Amino acid sequence: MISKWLIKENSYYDSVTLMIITKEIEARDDVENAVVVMGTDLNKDLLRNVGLLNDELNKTTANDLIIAVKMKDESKFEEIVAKVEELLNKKKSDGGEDYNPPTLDSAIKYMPDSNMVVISLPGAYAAAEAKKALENDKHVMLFSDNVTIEQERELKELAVSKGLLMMGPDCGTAMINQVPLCFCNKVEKGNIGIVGASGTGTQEIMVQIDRFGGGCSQVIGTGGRDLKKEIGGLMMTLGIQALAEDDNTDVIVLVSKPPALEIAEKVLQTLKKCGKKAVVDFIGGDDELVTKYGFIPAKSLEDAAYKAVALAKGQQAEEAPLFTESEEEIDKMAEEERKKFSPDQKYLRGLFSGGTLCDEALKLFTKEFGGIYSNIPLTPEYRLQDNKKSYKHTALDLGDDEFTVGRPHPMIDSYMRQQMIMKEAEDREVAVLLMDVVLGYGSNEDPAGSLADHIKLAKKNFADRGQHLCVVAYVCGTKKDPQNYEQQINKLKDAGAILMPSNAQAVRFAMKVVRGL
Amino acid sequence: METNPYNKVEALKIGYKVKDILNDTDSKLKIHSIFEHAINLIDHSDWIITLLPENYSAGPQTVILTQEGFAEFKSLVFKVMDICDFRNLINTENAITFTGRTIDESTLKGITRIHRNIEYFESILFQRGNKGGLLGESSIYSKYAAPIIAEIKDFFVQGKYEQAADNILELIGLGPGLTPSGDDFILGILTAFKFCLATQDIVCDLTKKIINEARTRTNIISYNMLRQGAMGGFPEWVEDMAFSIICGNSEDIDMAFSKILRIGSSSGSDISAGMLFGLKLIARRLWDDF
Repeated sequence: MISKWLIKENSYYDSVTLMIITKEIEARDDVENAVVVMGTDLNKDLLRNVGLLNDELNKTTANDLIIAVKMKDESKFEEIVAKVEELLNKKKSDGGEDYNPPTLDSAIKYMPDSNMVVISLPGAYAAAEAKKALENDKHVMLFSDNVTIEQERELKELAVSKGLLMMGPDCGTAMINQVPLCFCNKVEKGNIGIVGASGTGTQEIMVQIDRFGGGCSQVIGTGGRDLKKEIGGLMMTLGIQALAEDDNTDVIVLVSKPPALEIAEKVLQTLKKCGKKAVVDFIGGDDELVTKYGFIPAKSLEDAAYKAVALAKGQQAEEAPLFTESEEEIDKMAEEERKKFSPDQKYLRGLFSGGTLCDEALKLFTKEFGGIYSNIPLTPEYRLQDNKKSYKHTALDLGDDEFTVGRPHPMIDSYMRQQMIMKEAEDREVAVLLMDVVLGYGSNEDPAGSLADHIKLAKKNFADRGQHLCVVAYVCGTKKDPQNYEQQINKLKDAGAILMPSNAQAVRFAMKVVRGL
Repeated sequence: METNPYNKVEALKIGYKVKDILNDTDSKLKIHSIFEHAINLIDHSDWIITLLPENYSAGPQTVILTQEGFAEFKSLVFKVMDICDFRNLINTENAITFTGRTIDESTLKGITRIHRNIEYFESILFQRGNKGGLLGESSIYSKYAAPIIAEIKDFFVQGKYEQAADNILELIGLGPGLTPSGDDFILGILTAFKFCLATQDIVCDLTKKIINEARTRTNIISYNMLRQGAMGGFPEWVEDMAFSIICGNSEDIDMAFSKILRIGSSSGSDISAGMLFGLKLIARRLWDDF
């Protein structure tokens, strides 16, 4: 390793610039260490400690900027110097690489070859911008909600007439030609295409496909209302047609909440025409209808992925096992948890960041236990009176509007979930806390870390009063996601959580623990 | 350099120390440095006045201009070392004076609440703070500082405040950033001392030592920040942070934390780390006596 340096005398650069420079240099494979500091005595001492100080650097003063680097190949140092100078002298008005066009029109002029626009604006403006994008022949991903259903219809009809994707409104997940958009996991490339009217439902299927050794070709989001009568499945049908024409897609997976019969039929007819194998998860919907059209219904999001991977490998699509571990082992784990509860502990409390993951939990739970309270209940009698006050068995979608007014979504910011964990920790009747941790682009950079301390504290609260809190967690992510999947798992385990490999398995395990309490 | 006596730029807020500086220097200041969102002016005694656009933190030595005013001022200023006649360019008549917060025993919350607030502050700091400076465990700066900080704590616990003060000085100039992380950390400690009403035996000669010794150990911009802190003057968002912990609830802390994180790149986090450290040092010590 060779030491190289650059001194800028009497130079003051704001901290953000200095951080950017450090990150840029350290990101290079040929750099072992980079230090960008002012020449104070202490910083020089530090440079000495890491073997970067020399006589010239020693003469610098506290008002001089030092850029010192340990690198493999000194011939590359000039590249680094050029980059540093570029960053130090960068001005936004130059219209260089960092030009941020202020309007869609200027963005289109600036990047005329672009073919996709991702829009996240307040609802009042979102529809107009989406329309403008479509009129300019761009595909659209519309993250915004608060667009009226009439506007959505108009946008989608325009998109369909031009053969363009109009993903949304309220579309949070997509992957087009391996480019992840908004909230999306990094998965293996493969031959399974997904069209989803459900954000975390789509993410769960993606990561499970990856887990089962398959891969995704395309992931098209439609927005949550696409299969309503007023919209008629316009984008789901266009998405199916797009996957039908995609040479990289051999198997199609559809995921959404159960649509109205006529819409379901329309979608399945389109699927039939495309001639490809398909798995359909109308979460909790009519399996017979799916089978009637010759496709394979899914019992859960994990099951959809399991069957899709089997089909993609040319195998028979069997149902996914209820648990990865043996039933015996699972029963034993559940019994060990049950033994530790005090007599008054009996309830499950689910705290979800993913709406569809919560919905899947509600459906699985209701099938077995008859009902569970929620802010997104399956039936009106199970709606909580106060969404911040759980009652008996409760599962909350913390991404719902009430919890996100003035706050980032819980997939980004864990504050609300931390508060709810501590709140549930005060309830003596709670036995199990169930939660999802969603990784991927767009999510919190350390969701497990942000919850681990609160989980530990909650368990301690229970222990202090002679009780036991069973925490069941599921990490929706892959080893390719930016958050370091293994570390996330370990942080939760270290906090005392029991980890399950899918949302469905986490829910089933939690149900086993509370059964009979 | 052009002056524009008829269309002065409007100041929205002016720090209390700025008025003193202008009185002493007859308002002729040199341009020290120009950044995208800040312009530093310096007088003959090395006092710095920082001009900022609105939505940045006020402070004893800052002048907050409107967005348009800041852009306009920037367009007048050609280069570093130019002389600027402050009074000819900036109208401060309608500006609110930033006076900083005063604190006394009556505004403090109960000890249990303060302890809880400190715990909450710690959790969000480690969750959301920038770990590029002293906050992260793995940075070379935090590894360098760790034994120094450990000694500060030990001296403090033993009641050896003089030695603790000397060790605090050892952090001056350490770390990345225009205001080095060590300086930010010290500012946080000073804020904690002020807001916890730390008595003279704790503060010792720390403030005097900072004023005397920091000048040669860090750059002029950071020295100004430390000097003002040693004199009890802190940026508005830094005071808000301390105030929210001593006198507020978790929502206040969240709001203040969102603002302090906007200071610099890691400065907000490093100031917060120092503040947490200072709060933990003296919380138990002080309020056992209440």
